[in-house]
Amino acid sequence: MKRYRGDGVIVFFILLLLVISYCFFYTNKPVNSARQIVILQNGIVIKTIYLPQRSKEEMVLSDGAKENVLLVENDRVQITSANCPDQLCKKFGWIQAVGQQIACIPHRLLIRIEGQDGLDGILY
Amino acid sequence: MEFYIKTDSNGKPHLALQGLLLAMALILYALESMFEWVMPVPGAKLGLANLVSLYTLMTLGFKISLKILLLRVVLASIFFGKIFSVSFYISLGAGLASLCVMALVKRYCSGKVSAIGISLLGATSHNIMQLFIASMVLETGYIFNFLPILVVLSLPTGFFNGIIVEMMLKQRNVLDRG
Repeated sequence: MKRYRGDGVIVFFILLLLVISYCFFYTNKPVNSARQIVILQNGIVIKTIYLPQRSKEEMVLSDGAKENVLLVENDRVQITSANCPDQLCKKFGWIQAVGQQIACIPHRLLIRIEGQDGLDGILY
Repeated sequence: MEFYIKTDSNGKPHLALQGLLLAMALILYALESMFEWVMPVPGAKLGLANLVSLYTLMTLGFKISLKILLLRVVLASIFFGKIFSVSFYISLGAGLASLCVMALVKRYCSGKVSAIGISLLGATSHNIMQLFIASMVLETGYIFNFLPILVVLSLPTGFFNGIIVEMMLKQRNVLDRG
């Protein structure tokens, strides 16, 4: 049974990593506040869209020959088409909760939903 | 721990055995590519091919498992038309990191950990390296918030691989009959 004692230590550290990373990324969600879509390409914020949007809106994100078509509807967002080789970004589907992300690694694109901390909401 | 392995006339592991292991790794890779749709995160794979890396590491040592891993990643990328794409570099880097971590644990904690612990640690380090390379490409660390879900998804396969390898090691010469 001695061989399995080290396994317990390994499992403990993996679970610790899991709990710490979960707390680090997911517990400081602002509840009931307005959300925004933040689009990063090459590590730079190229666009911020405040939610909810009243109408369905399609937008093309292009960086040279790299193109991703984004569909924003009410309070959620999806990539509908892209010319990247793996087409994985389309498979993420709709995202709407704070912390959810769509990544298109070949196009160096990351779309994430953030809560607006510091603001109670925006009046239009 | 010494394991009996079929050796050639020079006392080295038989080339046919290494070829067989490589073929099995490629089959498992093809199999897990077919089951990509079960994973809730797009692009995530089950990690069954690590079974062969782990078994090779435990029986034939680091050098041969490194050779089989490199050949598996390169050949699989050629077969699936992904060679030199971003996903190729991600699986290469993550595979190397995972194998190195497993080899280090086996080298320095031998007798204290079984194949199950080594497999789980390999799976977790694969996830971390994968996201690290992705964050380098995207130039943002935000991608790391996929870490908890990826680790959770990797634990069942890691555990399964560990148990299978542990059972194979108990059979000792499972690949040596005939």
